[in-house]
Amino acid sequence: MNSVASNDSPLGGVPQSGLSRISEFWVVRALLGSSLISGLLAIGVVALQLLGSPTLRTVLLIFLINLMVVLGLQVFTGNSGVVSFGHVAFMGIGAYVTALLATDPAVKVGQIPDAPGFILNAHLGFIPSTLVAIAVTCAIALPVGIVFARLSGAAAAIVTLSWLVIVRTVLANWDTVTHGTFTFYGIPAATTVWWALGWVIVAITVARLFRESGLGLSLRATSSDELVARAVGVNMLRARLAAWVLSAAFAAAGGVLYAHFILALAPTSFEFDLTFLLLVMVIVGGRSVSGAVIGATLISVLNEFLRQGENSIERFGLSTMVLAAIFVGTMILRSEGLLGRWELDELIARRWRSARAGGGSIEPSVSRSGTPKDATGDEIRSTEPR
Amino acid sequence: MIAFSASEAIQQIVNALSLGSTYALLGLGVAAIYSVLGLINFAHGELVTLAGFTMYALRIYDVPWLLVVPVAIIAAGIAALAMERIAFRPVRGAPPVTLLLTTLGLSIIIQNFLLLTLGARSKSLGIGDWSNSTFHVAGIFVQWFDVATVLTTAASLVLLTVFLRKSVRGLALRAAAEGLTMTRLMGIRADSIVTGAFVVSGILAGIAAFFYIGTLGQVGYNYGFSPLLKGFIAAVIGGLGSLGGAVAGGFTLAALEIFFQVALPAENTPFTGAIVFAMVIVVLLFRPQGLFGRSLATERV
Repeated sequence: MNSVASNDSPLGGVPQSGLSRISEFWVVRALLGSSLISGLLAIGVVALQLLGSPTLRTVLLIFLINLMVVLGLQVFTGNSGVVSFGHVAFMGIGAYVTALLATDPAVKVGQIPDAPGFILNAHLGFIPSTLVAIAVTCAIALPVGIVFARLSGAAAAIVTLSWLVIVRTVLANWDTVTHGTFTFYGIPAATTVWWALGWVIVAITVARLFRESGLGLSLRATSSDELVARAVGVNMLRARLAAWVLSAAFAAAGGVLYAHFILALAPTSFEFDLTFLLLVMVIVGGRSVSGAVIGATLISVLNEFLRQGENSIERFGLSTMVLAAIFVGTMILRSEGLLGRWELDELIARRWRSARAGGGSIEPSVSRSGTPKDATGDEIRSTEPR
Repeated sequence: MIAFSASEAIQQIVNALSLGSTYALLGLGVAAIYSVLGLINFAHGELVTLAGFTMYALRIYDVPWLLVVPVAIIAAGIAALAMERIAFRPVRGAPPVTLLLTTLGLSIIIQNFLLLTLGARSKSLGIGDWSNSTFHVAGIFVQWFDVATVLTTAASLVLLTVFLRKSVRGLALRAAAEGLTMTRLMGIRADSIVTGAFVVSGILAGIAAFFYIGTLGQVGYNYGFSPLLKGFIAAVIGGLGSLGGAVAGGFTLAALEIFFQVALPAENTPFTGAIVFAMVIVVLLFRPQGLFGRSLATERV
């Protein structure tokens, strides 16, 4: 993999070219970059939590839970370029596992009396239950990922969508364990905004570290050009599998937060509607970690306004329709998403450099807002086909 | 496993043929567009829904079924044409992921537009007894509707084959499935090929809609998801992009579903769909190009 990130270019050409920059001090870069976006997020969350109304605080917590899963999607889809419809399934698995393990046995026996003893008698605390839920989800994600890692594009979309349907079917029909289509209730409350914020910041940091690591770099190389990446020795299946399992862990963590916040689960909570919303967040924002955070923030704010509008005029379907229209508009006008493939700190650094270069002939087209007008002008982008 | 008599077995084969016909039409509609554009159309299910609502709208005014069905099929064809013009032409040539997400967005827009305008409740089509009427041959009850499904599908496939082999447009479509750029170099307009693919796909969705919605007897804004998934799976089994493969994939999918519905104990039948999908996914591990298809290992460029 180091051959991709080779520092001393044989051509000796462009100074500070994209690839050589990535290879230097990647841990430091990742930590600095993730603290920037985490810091901005934390300031916003703290301010809203302290100043906002109870309703706003609920919206804020749901935003953080969604963001957790969106970050998982970013780790896989953002780096590999392969769209996954299956991550809400991992969210559901994580939620149900923690619900089954953490709920008081006395409450469980009324709902699922025929469940196996180790489930029926389990009464774990929040943290151990979370760890088990994440571990179980990863154990399921690994074999599934071995199959899925081979597929790209359309086939991957269809198969991950089938995975969502499979998990939903099992959750809705495994009556003895999941209470079937009925609501599973009595989950102890544990999710607070501070827990959620802490986890999200950990997730941002891990996602950014993964992005800058050798695995993340090779995965991004496969999304630019699979054949070229493999030709220089990238093990695509290994990189995709690693991203898949890591992203499933994030999604499971989101599911755990959800379960201990909403306190009652139904299989219908983990369906296509949520999948679409989370995908819109990650795609509109862009494929980077900062893009996922910014996309999730913008779409959550927008969605909340739309939903309030929809409820006040009682026109159901309007909010999702507008959201989908914005999504299609983004695809037509700016298919790379708002930030494209860049992190916030990278964009700031680029802008600063181009300002210093006076007019910026090396790195063109950075608009006043700090986002690139047209990513096609960039050196990394030029390695893409077409 | 339950042992059952020959007549029961034949009964189930008839069911599988009927169900498979619908799946084959759906898979074919998905494959028709994929083969030309490398695009999987998430809004294909909405074509089925729109055809269903057209039938509903006409049935309100007691239009006879013999007129309702062709109008609904034409409506689906027009809807497919409109989709291409409005949503897909602006992104033609974009990376496959962008295309895929655009069709997904369009599907959600149409669904929610229908929810907004027609409400969440399913509409009954008021299908008469004729759809359930049966006849009796050698100890087997056969529904006329199943016979109609199989025969219509067979006729559609024959017509489609003739169209693809004998007409210039059909020939251009097949050529485009091999390579769109080369076909354009041969002097065929890309717009006409793409339009043709969408019209074929829409008409196939319209025919499938009659059988699918007809069996359910009602239609709602979100009724497109299930047929979409069946069409996708049929196309994937057949090797995305192969038209013959999509038909074979549709019948395979239906045969598997019927088999598990019969073979599984009653309390496990809800898992049929999940088991079949899981089997398909495992098959893809060994044959990523599908059971009947050519190589999918490299994305179509």
